[in-house]
Amino acid sequence: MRRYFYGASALMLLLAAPSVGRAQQIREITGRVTQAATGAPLPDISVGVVGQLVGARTNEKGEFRIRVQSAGDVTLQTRALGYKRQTQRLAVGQTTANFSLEKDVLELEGVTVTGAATSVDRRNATSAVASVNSEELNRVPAVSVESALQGKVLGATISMNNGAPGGGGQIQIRGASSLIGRIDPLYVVDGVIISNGVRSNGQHVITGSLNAGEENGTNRLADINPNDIENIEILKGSVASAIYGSQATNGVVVITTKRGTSGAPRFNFTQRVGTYQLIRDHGLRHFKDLATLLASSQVAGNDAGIAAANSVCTASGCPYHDYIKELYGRTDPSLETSANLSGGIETTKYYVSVTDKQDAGIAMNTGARHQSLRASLDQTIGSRITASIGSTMLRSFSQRGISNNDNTNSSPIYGFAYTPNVLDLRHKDAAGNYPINPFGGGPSNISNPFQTFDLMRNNEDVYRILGSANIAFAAYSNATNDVRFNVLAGVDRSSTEAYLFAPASLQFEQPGTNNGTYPGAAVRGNGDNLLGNTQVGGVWVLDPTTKWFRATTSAGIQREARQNRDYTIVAQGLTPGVLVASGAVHTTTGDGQSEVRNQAYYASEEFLTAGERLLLSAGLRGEKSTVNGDPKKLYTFPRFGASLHFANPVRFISDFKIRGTRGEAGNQPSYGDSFLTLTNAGLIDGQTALIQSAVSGNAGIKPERLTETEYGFDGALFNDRVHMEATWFNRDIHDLLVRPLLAPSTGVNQEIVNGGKMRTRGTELGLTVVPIESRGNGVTWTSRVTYQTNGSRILSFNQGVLPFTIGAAGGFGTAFGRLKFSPGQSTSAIYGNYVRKDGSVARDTILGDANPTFQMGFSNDVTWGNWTFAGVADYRKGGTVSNLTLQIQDEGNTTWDYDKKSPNPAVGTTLGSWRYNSWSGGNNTLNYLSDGSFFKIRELTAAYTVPSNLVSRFANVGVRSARFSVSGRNMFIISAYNGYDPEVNNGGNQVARFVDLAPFPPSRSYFLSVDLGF
Amino acid sequence: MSRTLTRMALAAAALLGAVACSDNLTVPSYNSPTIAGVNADPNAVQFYATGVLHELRESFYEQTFGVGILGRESYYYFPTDPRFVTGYLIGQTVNGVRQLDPAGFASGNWYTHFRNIRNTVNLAALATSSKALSASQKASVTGFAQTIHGLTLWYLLVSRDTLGVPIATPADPAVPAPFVSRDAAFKYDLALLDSGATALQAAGSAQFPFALTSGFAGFDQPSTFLTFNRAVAARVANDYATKGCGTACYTQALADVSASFFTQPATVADMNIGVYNVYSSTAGDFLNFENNLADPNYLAHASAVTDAQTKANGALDDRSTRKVAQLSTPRPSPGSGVGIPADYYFSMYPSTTTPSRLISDEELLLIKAEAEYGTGNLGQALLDLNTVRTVSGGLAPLSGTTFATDPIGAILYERHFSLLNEGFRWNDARRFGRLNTLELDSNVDPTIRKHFVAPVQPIPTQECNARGNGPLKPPAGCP
Repeated sequence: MRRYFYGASALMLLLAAPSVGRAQQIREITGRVTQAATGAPLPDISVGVVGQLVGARTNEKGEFRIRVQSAGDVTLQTRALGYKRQTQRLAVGQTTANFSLEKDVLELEGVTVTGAATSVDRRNATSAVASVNSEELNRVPAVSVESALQGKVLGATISMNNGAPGGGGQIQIRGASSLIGRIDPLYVVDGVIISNGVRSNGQHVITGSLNAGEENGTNRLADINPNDIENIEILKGSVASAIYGSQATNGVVVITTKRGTSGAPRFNFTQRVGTYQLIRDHGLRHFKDLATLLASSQVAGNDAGIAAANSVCTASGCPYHDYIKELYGRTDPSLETSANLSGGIETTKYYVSVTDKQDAGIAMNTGARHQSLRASLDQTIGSRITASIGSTMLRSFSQRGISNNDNTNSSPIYGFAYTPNVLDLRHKDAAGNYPINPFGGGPSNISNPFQTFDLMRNNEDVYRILGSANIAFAAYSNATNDVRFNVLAGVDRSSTEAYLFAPASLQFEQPGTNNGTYPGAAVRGNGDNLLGNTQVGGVWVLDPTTKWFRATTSAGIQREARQNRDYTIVAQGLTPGVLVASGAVHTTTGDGQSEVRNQAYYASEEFLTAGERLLLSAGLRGEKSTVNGDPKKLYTFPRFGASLHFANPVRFISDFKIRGTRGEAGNQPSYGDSFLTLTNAGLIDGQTALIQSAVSGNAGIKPERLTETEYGFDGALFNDRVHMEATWFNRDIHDLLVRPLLAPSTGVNQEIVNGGKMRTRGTELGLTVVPIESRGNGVTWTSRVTYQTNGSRILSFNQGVLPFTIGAAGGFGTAFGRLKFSPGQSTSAIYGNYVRKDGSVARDTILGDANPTFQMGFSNDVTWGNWTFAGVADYRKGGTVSNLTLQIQDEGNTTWDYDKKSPNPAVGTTLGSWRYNSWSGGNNTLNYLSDGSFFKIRELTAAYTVPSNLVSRFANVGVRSARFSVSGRNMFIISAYNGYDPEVNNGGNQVARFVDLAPFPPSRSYFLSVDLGF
Repeated sequence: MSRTLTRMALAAAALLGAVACSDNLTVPSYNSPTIAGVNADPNAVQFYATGVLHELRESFYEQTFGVGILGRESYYYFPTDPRFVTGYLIGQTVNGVRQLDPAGFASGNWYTHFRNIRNTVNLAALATSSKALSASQKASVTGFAQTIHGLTLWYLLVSRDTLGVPIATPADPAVPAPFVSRDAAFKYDLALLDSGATALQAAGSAQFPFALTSGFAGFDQPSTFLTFNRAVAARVANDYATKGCGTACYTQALADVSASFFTQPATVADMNIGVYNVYSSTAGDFLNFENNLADPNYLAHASAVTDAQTKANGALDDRSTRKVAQLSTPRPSPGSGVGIPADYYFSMYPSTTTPSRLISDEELLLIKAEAEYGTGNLGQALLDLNTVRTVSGGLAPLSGTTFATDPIGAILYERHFSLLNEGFRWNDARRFGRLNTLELDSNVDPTIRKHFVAPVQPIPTQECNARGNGPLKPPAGCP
């Protein structure tokens, strides 16, 4: 809604401004805007005069008043998100105009942003637009915004990294566009670029895992409160980079928050109660007798294990414990309370909201809490200045337990894989101690996950402030010209405090275990992020009275800075009874900092002509950044776009548009890539050791250059009952940032160079149908289907640049499947080994691809009187997953289907032993590469809006509206995948996701909601 | 209108100008020292030299780790990854031949050494271009750098043996140096050590312009460091003697031993005279990860007990009891059926910070014994071997007859127990053609789980791939 603000209210003010040219004949037009179906007044609707820069907004009674500088015929037009636009022609002397607006179920209306302070009507947009509104976003509560967007955004692949409460997910727009550069989209809230970083929580200190991605951190998008979001627009391709430049080559997620509207104060209150539960679990192996147990890999040769086996098993059977359900079976209530207050007068509007959301995790001592307090103000100052100010204070607290790759069996799914499930590990003995787990690799890897989750803490507490100020100055206006300047400044400051505590009493902290050198560990850390951006720009709109064109020219400067500071204390050998680092036997500190500053200059032109049917646009950006080898060098990126739309070109087609854009953008190197440094290897005998860096920096490093071509069409058919869109895109990336492996015998392992080309192509199709539509209180059914496919290929590497891998982030080597970037191959190709028919082994060859063949989204909304039913589902076809959860369970002989019939008893007498044996120590990777296809019911909702005659009974307590709903998220997974969920990824957010290794099992949720309006 | 526009344009220009002019686009390297910054520091030589010694300790660990498993001295039973077993002891069959996977776990023990060679080259270059150092100080740094370079290159020659290695350190890391044969590499290595010795002599009475670690106590000035240089040269020459050089190298080894710090040992403490890697629990430093508390997965092969000879009182060789001890409970092999449980761990490093021997009097005496044997002086050879046996092992001396039945076996036994877990057994067995004497833990499963003794560690795939098929292609060992 805010986007209308500048246009309409600024212009309205200008009307009264003294600088307006000599007054012509002026007449005043008044009227009222109502909703067609109900007759309810519609506030905050923009009413404009076609061909003139004059407009007004309706008040809370739906009334407007507009002054027109024309004595002749004029045409008024209404516009608002959610309603179809309407025009009325007023004859000479006519001074009233009433509008009755129909709902815009196909979302054909609205505008899309094209620049720092410019936008165009969606029907003229030169590229595909995807947006999700507040209602679509908030029907069903979600752990984070990513989860709420799943299945709803055409052109984006949205995945949650695993099921831990508090978030952690990835949005990838239009596939991969970089190998080692930025892979995340840019997130912008009300013009403020916000951080989506992940802080390492130090979990590797106790798990011994390899990189920070495996620590299952939360990315900072989790802080954003979905209740405050009015609209999310996903900018794909060159349109995105036109505004945000080098940081936007992976697209931009533009979040617009709710703002106040004029009128009496309105208060809304929402209470939700729900619960999370394990979504998919096959259980574990049923050991059939003592002999089977004694022969299993974790018992044979393990004296303690043999004794334990004899104590519980007999020749006729073994006890069965489903550890997964026992640990992840909690269904404690989750609560969400939110309230907002909004209102104001024409010149001052406010919006204040508060939310407290508590999600209880499915395992003990796990959960998340999000609290948010937001206030925004829209104020006109004097006659020419409007200011929009917003400030949000957020707190995110999460307890995520422990999950993912692990080398100490502390991660439960990992530990359980090596623990024959015959013992009761859950219940403490009379002395209050958890049973010692005698299995799992022997005495150096003892772990009882029930004890772990009871006594260990892995907490993250984030306090964050987002602030934005947007000041518009209406500098000059007359009948044909409109000049305004904008200053936007925003800041995102967050402080993350992390606390990981593993007391010495934990079994995996005992002397003799991998952590036993210094039993008991605490990791305390603090990460500070500061992002700031400012934009100063001007827009000149020329709309000559001849009316054959409208030209919008804009230019400006953007500056952006981001800084990260991070401190960690790793304390090992804690003093008994002490919960912090002080006094620990061994303490190491970490301190890191990064800083990036960018400057950009832009100019763009949008030329709307041929009766608002043809839009031509062009732009040029110049950028400098401190991350480039030469920070003073200006890199320029041009862009062009065009769209042509026809209203009612033929019968049945109400609107048809063809569109195309071509633009360039850069993707920046990372902080530090340009520095030639030594590595501090640590100490020896108290002296600092400086050594050759493994990765050689590059003082000549420059941004990747992406050229994207996109074309497509949109059509509305059958009286706007059917809407279809189709888009094709091609992205060519030159000067690709690569980190080729060098000959290690040179003493340098890798270098960073601009040394390749890659290409990503894709198709996006959308079809929205309104099979049933009733104008009154009957049934309206809207159904949408989307289809997307994309693929990325490395076209070439420069002379001397060799194929390279990205270490643990790209998988665990060829035995388990790994990524390798090679010329001519897909960027998500999975390399592994397989045994040929003749028994020889083919090594390091392509066996699969992490990228899905295609993805589809399905959504259906049915309103029937006061009832609304909605559902969202998605389908992913293909996408290879390295199923290492299955691999470790087979290795530990604990898989649920271990005892099923073996396809080849000569190799393994049971299915599980056959799988493991024919995997042959990694000679046959295929055994653990699985098809990741799935169909998921993402959301189901039934909502009942209490009829106004019933609500009116409660008018004495101020109730204006009431709504009840029942909803569920991630209700079902239909998939042949042998595991919890093929969507998870061990390494967090990666260029290609495909490693399922001991995830926190994903959960489904059910919620009951009450919304009251006062 | 024009006045308004002018005013407006001025305001806009002022505003844009204000933003554009604050043109601060320089950001420092916060987290890593820049080469330019360090080189300008007066202590740069110290930082580089400490780097060399730090990485020498890392080289020693990787070497003893890798060749220790291959030589059936140790196991690495990482509970969640059996590839430390399968990668070293089982390998893969290619064209009917069992070998280690060039992309697998046993393909390491490579880059760390080359990186430290580059560190030594960087250090020498830094010293040579220094304006602050005197000519003799520069010579001392060169001598130090070349000595460590020579020792590190020998580590590579042990693990790659007949495959050869590249010996040059290219200025541009994108252009690797060609591989040379084992023979050429040995010659180069000995020449490098001699060149280091010459430089150390040229340094005269000058002091090193940096401090060494306490592990080099007594060897921390050019004149005393020279005796360490000769000890390393003796080791390399002794090894080369069995790999093509023959008697000439044994003669050279004897000369090097006498030019080294070697003194006739009379006690175990004498045996331990030498140069050490030092460890510390200080934050940022490393523990000795061959200590069982520092890393419970680093375990001893049973042959350190089962092969041990008994003393007159029936107790085992002192070296066995001094260096390995029984675990309270056996550690099963990780994975499923790929290895046998381990019963022992190394007690030779009693604490997590016990220094490790880089080269010792005990080894020099063994080199001397072998070289005496190799130069035909069997009597002196037996005398030296018996000194080791009795002083270090507490065993009865060998009779001349027993020695004569299998002199090589006698030398190998003493080397096995005197230098246990110091990176020798596999190389020793190989250079005397006795790899088949190393124990195979698992010899039952005929197909996938049968152990074998790999003759070399493979050239890593990364090294092969970085060379293409041109003249830089390594001679053998690449897929």
